[in-house]
Amino acid sequence: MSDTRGPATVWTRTLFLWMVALAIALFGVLAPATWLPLLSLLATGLFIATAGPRATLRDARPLAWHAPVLLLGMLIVNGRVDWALALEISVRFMLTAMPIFWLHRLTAPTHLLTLFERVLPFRLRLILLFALRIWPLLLRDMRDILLVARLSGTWPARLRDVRPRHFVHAPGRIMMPLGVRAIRLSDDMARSLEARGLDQL
Amino acid sequence: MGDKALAEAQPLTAELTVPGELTLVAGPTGTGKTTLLSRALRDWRAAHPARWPGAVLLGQNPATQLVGETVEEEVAFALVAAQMPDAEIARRTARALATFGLDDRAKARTDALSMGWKCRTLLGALHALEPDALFLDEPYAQLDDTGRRRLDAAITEWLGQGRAVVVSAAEALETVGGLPSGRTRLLHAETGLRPEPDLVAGFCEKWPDHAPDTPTGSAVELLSFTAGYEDTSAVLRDIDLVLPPGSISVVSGANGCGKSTLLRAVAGDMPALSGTRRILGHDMAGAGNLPRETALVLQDPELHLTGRTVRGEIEVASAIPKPGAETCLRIFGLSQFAEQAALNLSHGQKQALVLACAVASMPRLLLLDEAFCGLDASAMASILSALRRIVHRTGLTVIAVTHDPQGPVPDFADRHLRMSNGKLIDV
Repeated sequence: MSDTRGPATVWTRTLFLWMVALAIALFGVLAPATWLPLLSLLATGLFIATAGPRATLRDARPLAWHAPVLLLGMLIVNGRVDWALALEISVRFMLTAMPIFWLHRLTAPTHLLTLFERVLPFRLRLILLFALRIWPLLLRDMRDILLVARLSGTWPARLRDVRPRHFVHAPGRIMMPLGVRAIRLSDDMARSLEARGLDQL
Repeated sequence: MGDKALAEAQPLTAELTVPGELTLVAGPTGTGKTTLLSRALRDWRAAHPARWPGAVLLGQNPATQLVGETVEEEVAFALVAAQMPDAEIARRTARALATFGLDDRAKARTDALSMGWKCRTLLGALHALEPDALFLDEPYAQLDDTGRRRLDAAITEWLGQGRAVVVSAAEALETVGGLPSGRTRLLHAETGLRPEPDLVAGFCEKWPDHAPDTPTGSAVELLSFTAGYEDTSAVLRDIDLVLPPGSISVVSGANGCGKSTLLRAVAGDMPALSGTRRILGHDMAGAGNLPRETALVLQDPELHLTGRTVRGEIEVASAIPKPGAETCLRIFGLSQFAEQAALNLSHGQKQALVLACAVASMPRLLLLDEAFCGLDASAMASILSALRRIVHRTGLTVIAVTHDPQGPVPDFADRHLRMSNGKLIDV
């Protein structure tokens, strides 16, 4: 998927992206009540069509981590879970986050820099690149952190073995290293760009 | 690096960069080599504001510095960002790829590369920028013999072109790689690791009460073992490996030959395509089965840290109560950092801490993936000695991976395994 990235392909996909944006805007105007489910169907369909169902499932899996946080947040704030609201927030979240995976899968970072050359200022293009680049690195690190946690018994090897007691240790042993990692990755990557003189451009 | 050390370093940064000369900055782990190099980069740029990029720096951890998706993109990235003409980008990229032997991997994804190849890719990216000064923070630490020779040749070329090169290393060598270093700046340790291997005996007395029983039969048994992911070809092929309990094995081989993958396969993180995988007496046919009583130390120590102090990290990982954790702290030379935040330690100190945490968890099988990178020679010798004593007193089985077959790590092993292209070629 990621290796067919000639300039022609990039421009075709850019055109495709704009067409999708136009279609979404039309839905919004013509049928305001149904735009959200239609939009989610459209985005998922596009993702599956371009990346394939297996890649979609694999890439979308980490996004599902927002669900327990959302439900727990509702329980703490409201004392109960509003399932309709939770579903709506979930769909909105997935819709916001999916394009990042999608863009990353379809377009190489250097091509993105070229692609948005005339649209975005250089610093904004770098920020966009950051967002796209950090996700896969963070996912890889998350796999490693989970492996260490599973070996140490902090987290079970299979999801079906997850018990409430695992959530007691998970914040410290999994979420904390992951959070630190996210900050460290951003910092290291910024330093790496600085070390190559990109801050001087 | 403390304020005093920084103040002392200030006049030093101006002296580091002499055009056409190689300078070695040497000192044990934690003495501030990385800080000094970063400072020198900033000072150099402040003194030469009109040049781009002028000076460049290679950081210590290659994994977190890559921004391009493929090797070629990474090498060309800054040139593209600087909007250089296409022909110039192509010329510089081709030269950089050839210099570091990256031609065959130009289209390879950067996130699938081994640490050594990531390091080479970053060096290629710096080479393509044709800077006036290069600051390289422990560049040899991750490279195999071929990579080292490539870097030596590149440094010779840079010096011949009148560029200033500053290289940091954990010890004061007379040569950097295969090159005689022009000038050496020694940073004296105020806070180096001071391991105490003599405390091992007391620590190991508590081992039988807290650790699981030693397995009968072999600790690791891989027979005609082939592993990989379904959508790719096999990464490990026809591995036959039987390791008894209480043994130390070292796996070496060139960068990218599959050493880390072998370790992950033993840890159960790699699906078996065929053959037998039996770890600590348990059959582990498919993926998702993880061996219990196993500790894995990854190449990047930060992935293990949970944001606590050094003492806190060991206490959380420890299978024994506080006094045992305290002894472990001393065995690995970390007692003087006990109250410091673990994330603020130097790379080598973090490695020592993660090793201490792994031992404190009292596993039956300890898997070490380049776990000694960043440790200075003296600390490494003491820590290896301590590990050896622990293994012989407790029956712990250790598999350690190293890219450097000539270094001290293979000497501490009972057996030395060599890998090439996903196969064990010499057991």
